[in-house]
Amino acid sequence: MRRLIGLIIFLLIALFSIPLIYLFTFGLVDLFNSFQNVISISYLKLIINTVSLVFAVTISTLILGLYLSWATEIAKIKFAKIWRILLVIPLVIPSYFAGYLFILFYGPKGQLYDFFSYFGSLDRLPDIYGFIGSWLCLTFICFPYVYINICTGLKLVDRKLEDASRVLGKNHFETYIKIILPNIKGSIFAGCVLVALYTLSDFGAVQALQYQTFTLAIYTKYRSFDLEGAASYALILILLSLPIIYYSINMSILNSYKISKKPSEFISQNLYDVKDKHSIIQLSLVFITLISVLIPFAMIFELIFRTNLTFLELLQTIKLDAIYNTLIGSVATSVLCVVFAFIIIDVVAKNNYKLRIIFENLIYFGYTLPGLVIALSFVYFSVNYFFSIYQTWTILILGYMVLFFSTGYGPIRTSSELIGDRYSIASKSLGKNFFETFYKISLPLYTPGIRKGLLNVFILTAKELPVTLVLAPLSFHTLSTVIWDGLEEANFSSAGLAGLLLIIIIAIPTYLSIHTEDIKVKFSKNK
Amino acid sequence: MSKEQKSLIVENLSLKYDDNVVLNDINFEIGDSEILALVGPSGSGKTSLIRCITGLHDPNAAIIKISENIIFSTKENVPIEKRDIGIVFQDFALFPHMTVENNIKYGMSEKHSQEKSLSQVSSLTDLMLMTGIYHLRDRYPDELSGGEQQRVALARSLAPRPKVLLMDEPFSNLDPNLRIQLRMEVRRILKYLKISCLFVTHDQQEALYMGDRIIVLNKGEIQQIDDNISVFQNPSNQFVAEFIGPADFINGEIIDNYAKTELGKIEVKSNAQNGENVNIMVRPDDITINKKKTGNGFVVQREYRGMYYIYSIKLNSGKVVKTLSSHTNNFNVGTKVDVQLTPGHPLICFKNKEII
Repeated sequence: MRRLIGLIIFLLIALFSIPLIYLFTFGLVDLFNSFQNVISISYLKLIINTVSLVFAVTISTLILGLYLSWATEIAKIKFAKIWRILLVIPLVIPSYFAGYLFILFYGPKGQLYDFFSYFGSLDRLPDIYGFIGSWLCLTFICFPYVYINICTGLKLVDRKLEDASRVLGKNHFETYIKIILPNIKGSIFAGCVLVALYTLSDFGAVQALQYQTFTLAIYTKYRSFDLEGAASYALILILLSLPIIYYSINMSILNSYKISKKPSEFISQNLYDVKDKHSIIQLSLVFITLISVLIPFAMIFELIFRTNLTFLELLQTIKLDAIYNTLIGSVATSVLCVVFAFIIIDVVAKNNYKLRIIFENLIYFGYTLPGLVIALSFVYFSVNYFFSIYQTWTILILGYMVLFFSTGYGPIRTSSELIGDRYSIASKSLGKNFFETFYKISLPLYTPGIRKGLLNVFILTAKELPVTLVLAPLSFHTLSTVIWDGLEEANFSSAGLAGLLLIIIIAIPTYLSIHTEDIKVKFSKNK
Repeated sequence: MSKEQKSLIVENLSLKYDDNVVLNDINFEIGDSEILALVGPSGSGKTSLIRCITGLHDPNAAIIKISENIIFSTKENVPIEKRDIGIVFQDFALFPHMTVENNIKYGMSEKHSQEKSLSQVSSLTDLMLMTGIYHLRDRYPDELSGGEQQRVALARSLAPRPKVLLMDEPFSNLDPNLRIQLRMEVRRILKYLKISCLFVTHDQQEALYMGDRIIVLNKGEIQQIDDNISVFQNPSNQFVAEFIGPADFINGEIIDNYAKTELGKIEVKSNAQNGENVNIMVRPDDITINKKKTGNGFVVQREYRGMYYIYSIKLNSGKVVKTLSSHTNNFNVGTKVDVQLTPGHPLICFKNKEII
């Protein structure tokens, strides 16, 4: 048993080291060989493009997230429950799809142009390709990350602090700035880091909107089979994102945040009465939902209805294979991630702090890497050393695992911290053996964490594009590759339908993952 | 009394959640530098009342005045931050991201910003010295013990010089010895600074100690408002009698100023008619027991409290009464005892749970 677990740990560490080795050997070598290129204008431009996009998207999503969480959680507005659901819907739209839908509507000759030209002659709309388009598009698909994190933070803040501040003579806004915000700093940072990482590693939206960033450059290198060149690009990208990676790893490992006292029982009474500003706030929410939800969905249906085929004929163009592959890939990855995470956390990590820290750094690093980079490192390794798994299910799922393992691991680890080992000690002291204790005590207690972990990995894997594109077997399709190919090859209707199907598949898991009570909130209530 | 300046006046305050009456027609006032203790069992509406006064919750009806200024009525609703009320929360609600000093300064800054001179600094220092936290000024709340947090919370609420201070079960998170020490200190500070205070507690001992006067609240209604000695000795109804301290009730028949009971004839203070049957309140200190084989009761339970015993005695009628007895009187359960009423004052009587 011990040997088996030892072997599992060793293999996992080896697996998670592959991208690191790829980057710091081949990438570094290539970087030195072509050093004169590094300081060239094109490199500099890539750096500026990438960094400015990351900054712009992070700041705009931060502003949106702060405003929206204030509106739905702190201000007393009608329909808050409905807004909470509507405002996270953008999460289900994959970025490569969103980018295209964005052009479809706002493009120089898009639907918006049609709408305007209905009223009068109009040459063309301003160009949205490049920075502006990428920035707006990414903002409207990423803001829910900040929004959700801040909402969770607000649930954990002791709202009595707000009462105390008001009684001490500060008005609502002063209290928000001086008391609430500093106490949810961690959640705000966490949301921003997620957005920054998303933007750094995104290549779907920038590809659609033709904005040259590092990920796009890496993809171009890959398409010309220059794996070393791609590695050197990737290495620079990683170096650029080191500060964010550092923050992210620090936050997730060292500062899994303190649990505040029980949330205030009188929470609803603390809501701020917005009075005459109510209709303005409602209008602003309608507007944001219009841009981030309604228009993209309208565009999806517009795509689907372009065809002359009947619905069934259209469905056949997608092939059931794609649906099947998406489901199998996502389920298999999420189950594997959660099982391994559980083994690591409950069996190994409790007794071996150092090993745990090393392992956790590795897996969080995996999460912060762009999918494309992980995919390329796997291609490089399999082509050179394990050709038998090149372009097979095995390598695809291993790739998914390296990319998303930490999202399955995190919730289980949080559960583990909240549960501690007192319950299993109590169970053992009552005469139950290891397996009985595991089955009757640990497993039920871990259920919320395990569920959240499974859902996280499932959703991300189902949406995933670059790893699938690069690592999947030839003529293998998932819904995301059908969308991608459809958009590239002008099969718009099947792309639209595949997008809709994908959204349907991940909609319920996304809803469950967000709106089932947050693990931390739940436990702090029990205290 | 009526000419005296009132710090807080609450008139006809009512609060309902849906159809649940939480507070019903509450009327009281706090005099200048008076400490009024509000005591009642949990769920009696104490916290709701505090929240209504601070403005964290709007009552359905009320007129609330602070130093003659209306802060709540059907027409007016002064915002929380302008009510000039201080509050100490049960769990302190110290701002976790600020040091002790900044916590205390938080409420001062605005009011005193124009005169941010020596006076503010010295009053801040004075306050910290007075509450015994000066040496902790650079620490953060999570580095403090419960008692220290309590002191910071008190200093923070006093810093803006509120017209009235509300304390919502401020000692309930502390261990018993610390509670006793702190309540003495807090009372001393409040009296020294001449602060008017509404002190909320569910602990009768604490209410009796802290309050100049006491309000007993039950099921959202005021049962009695009186000075602490009167509340204990002359409770207005049987609920107050039992809630404010241990009490037993024995049957008796009124004959002039006396009542005939199974423990003999005893002087009472009552308006009941001759021949009427009443319940006479006896507290544990009103009863004396002696070991006697032909006694009129026997010990059914013994609680050792260190300096004294509390015995439960079953009388011949089957009635059980409690009595306080010296630690030298060590009786086993089952011991026959002679029970005598020795109150040293006339006892009070109840009929249908109301005083008579």
